[in-house]
Amino acid sequence: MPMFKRIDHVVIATEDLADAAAKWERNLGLKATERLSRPLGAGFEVARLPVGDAFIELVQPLEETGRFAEQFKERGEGFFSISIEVDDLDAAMGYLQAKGARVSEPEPGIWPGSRVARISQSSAHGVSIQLIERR
Amino acid sequence: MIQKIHHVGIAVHSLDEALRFYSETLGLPVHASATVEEQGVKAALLTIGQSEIELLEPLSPESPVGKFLERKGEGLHHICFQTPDVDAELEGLKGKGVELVDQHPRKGLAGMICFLHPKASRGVLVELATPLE
Repeated sequence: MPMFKRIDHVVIATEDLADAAAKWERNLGLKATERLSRPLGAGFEVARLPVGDAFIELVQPLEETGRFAEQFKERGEGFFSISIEVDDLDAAMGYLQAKGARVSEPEPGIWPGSRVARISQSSAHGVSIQLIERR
Repeated sequence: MIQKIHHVGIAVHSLDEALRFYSETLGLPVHASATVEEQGVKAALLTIGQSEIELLEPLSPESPVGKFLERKGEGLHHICFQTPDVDAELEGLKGKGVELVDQHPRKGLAGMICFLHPKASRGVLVELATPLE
């Protein structure tokens, strides 16, 4: 089995979640099946739009401060990150660190039963990659 | 009907350097690479699960990907969804008045493809593709 298994989801930042979700449904027929408001106390709201074996995650900041809000101010609407599934987050992190990639400390993911860590954008050619382990 | 994420496209300055991370470090197999003169890119497609990662290096600074790099730097460039019938999908979008880049499907790396205008999806460049058998 490959260590980096599949694209679990793609995160897209928006300042208007309702309008973004309406556009994704109109354009491609992708429907929001689940919404989380302030998951794990974070200052944002998300919608999950399943597609194939993956999903699109639309995220809207609800606050002016916090990790997501800061990045949103800098980068604006559009692609935010991609999330890649691994079976063993600790093993994947150890492997990447040994290869010289910078990876953040693991933390609980907003989707129940998940644990995540982020590869630094500088290691991944400008792409913010989240590794996600599902239990 | 949209079936799955076909690929995510990533704009990079150097394909060779990007392959060092995506192919050598992440271990994703390269299943195709090509120079597409009319799109002004050198591209490599790497398999990840049922989808792909497409790395795009511009052939010139004036190409669309070249301008993207100039404006935004390296990073996620577009997302492509697979559909069994790109013609029907495009006609449906026209009927709904959705902003488009392509009025007709054309041949691309992923098969017959078309691009929606980023305005249609609040700043996200979306591609649709029907792979050629």
